[in-house]
Amino acid sequence: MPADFAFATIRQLAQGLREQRFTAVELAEFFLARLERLGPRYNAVVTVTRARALAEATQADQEFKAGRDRGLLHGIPYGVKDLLATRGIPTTWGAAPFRERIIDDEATVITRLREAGAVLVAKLAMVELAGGLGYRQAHASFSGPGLNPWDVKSWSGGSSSGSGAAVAAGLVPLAIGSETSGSIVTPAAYCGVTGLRPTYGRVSRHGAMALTWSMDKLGPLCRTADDCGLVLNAIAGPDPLDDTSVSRPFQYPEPGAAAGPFKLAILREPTRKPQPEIQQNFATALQVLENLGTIMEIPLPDFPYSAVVGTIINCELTAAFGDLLTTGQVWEMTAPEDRVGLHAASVIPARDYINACRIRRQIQIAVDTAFAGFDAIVVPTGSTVAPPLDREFREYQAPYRGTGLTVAANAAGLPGITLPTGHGERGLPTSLSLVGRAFSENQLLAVASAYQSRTDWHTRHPGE
Amino acid sequence: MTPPDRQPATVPAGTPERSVPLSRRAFSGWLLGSATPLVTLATSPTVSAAEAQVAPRSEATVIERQLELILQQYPDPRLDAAAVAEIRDDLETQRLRSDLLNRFPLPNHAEPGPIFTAWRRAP
Repeated sequence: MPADFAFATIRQLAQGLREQRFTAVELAEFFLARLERLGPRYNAVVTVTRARALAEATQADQEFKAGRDRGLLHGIPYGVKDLLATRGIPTTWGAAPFRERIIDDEATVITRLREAGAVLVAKLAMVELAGGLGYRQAHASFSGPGLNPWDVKSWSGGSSSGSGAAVAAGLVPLAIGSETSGSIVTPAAYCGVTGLRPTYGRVSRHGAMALTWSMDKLGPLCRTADDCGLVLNAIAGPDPLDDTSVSRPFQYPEPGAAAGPFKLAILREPTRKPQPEIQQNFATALQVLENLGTIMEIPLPDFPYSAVVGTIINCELTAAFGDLLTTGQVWEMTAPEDRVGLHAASVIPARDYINACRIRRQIQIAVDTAFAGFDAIVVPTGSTVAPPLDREFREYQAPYRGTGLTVAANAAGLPGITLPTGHGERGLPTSLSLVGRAFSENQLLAVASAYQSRTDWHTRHPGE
Repeated sequence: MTPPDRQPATVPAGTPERSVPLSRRAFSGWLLGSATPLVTLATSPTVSAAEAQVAPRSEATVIERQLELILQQYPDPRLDAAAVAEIRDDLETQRLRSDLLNRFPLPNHAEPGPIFTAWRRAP
């Protein structure tokens, strides 16, 4: 198969399968070989699921021959962040205490992708326990620091580090990540791929490691917004195994969806700004977006977003992982700071948690009101490109400041999509994020697809 | 999740471990803000909540009490000076967050909702 297939979209691969240019088994073998050859270069892979992949691909080929077509994901390989349960295959959560552990269950997302005919080829690396313990640098996973395919001396982002790197390096056409507060959009931004954070409850969390029950979300990292829509279409929907999954229907492509003009908004700028290249690329991206509709400037409602999110995460993760403290397993964590990340959280007063939840409700109402009337709020995803491996994040990022929208959106459970906008320091990708009201994924996908139809940043990829 | 903000650590001298068991009453008294050393609280159940409230308190004292509580609950020889400094650092961050949360004006009827769900205003 031509090497360019490593960076093909889902529709391109699906067309190849239907035109019988290659079989599902050949496609799986192609990506399995890339995972085995290049995965270690980026510390992107925990387990290559070769046997399962070939069995699923063989089944797909048999179904194609029998005239059964499950849709565009049929026969398409994919990887998942290693916090989704898979029967018979270790699920490590990126943490040394669980590196041999097999969960006798299957995550609903994986079940749905299997029903759509997709082929699981790998379980991908992640920051230990999805970063909940407070890591401050890239060396925070038993599988090693996530290395950025654009510059292996830089971080791939977290906590879905392997998902971002694997898509960027063409090891998989698509990957599933999770986000509690930034874990899809950050690696997508750092690795120059397209990442979609669905509305909280849009996708079942059953079978996924719980970091923060009331904030965890699962979503795709792909080459394009269109790919993200196709994947979300397969995994969204109610699930009796997850009480927080919502019954609200989702269909992509949305029938009769408008292709513009769009009503967009930017946020009033903070006093400290992102890196100069990020500002410059964002300004260029806004020029593209101006041709798609109107752009207004609005304020982000004033709330203690970080305090709310930090308190809720710390309290829920301490409940979820308190046994690591009592058993002493927390001392097996890779990052030294993660070994003591649960201690302080164990004494947060209940009042703080409940007040954080009460304020979160006020945030939902205020932010929904502020965003009403707009298809998307547009911001630079972060304040910097990917930090170098040898620098602590806060030290590297200290001179710069972002908008804080990622934290606010996660507090309110809102969807967002991250798109590459160019390159910055050390040749690393820059990006923007589109954030919308709850359940507005199709509007965000429409704006994102329109942007990507007028730019080619999403088609660029790092060399080997 | 992406890394949370933290305050820079200042490494103190080694903090000794304590092994005095902590009663629920002592814990309650401590939460009320007593300046009485935790060890005393744990071994002197006669300290009332009222007395505790009268006693002066400071942020540093509260953090040190919390730290002592943690060291009693989760004693481990690997909790060296650097580890303790990390925990103290986290406690300081939590105090700042707590202040922000508790200063935020909430009406009495403001509820968190029994189950958190995404929300948007009906058209």
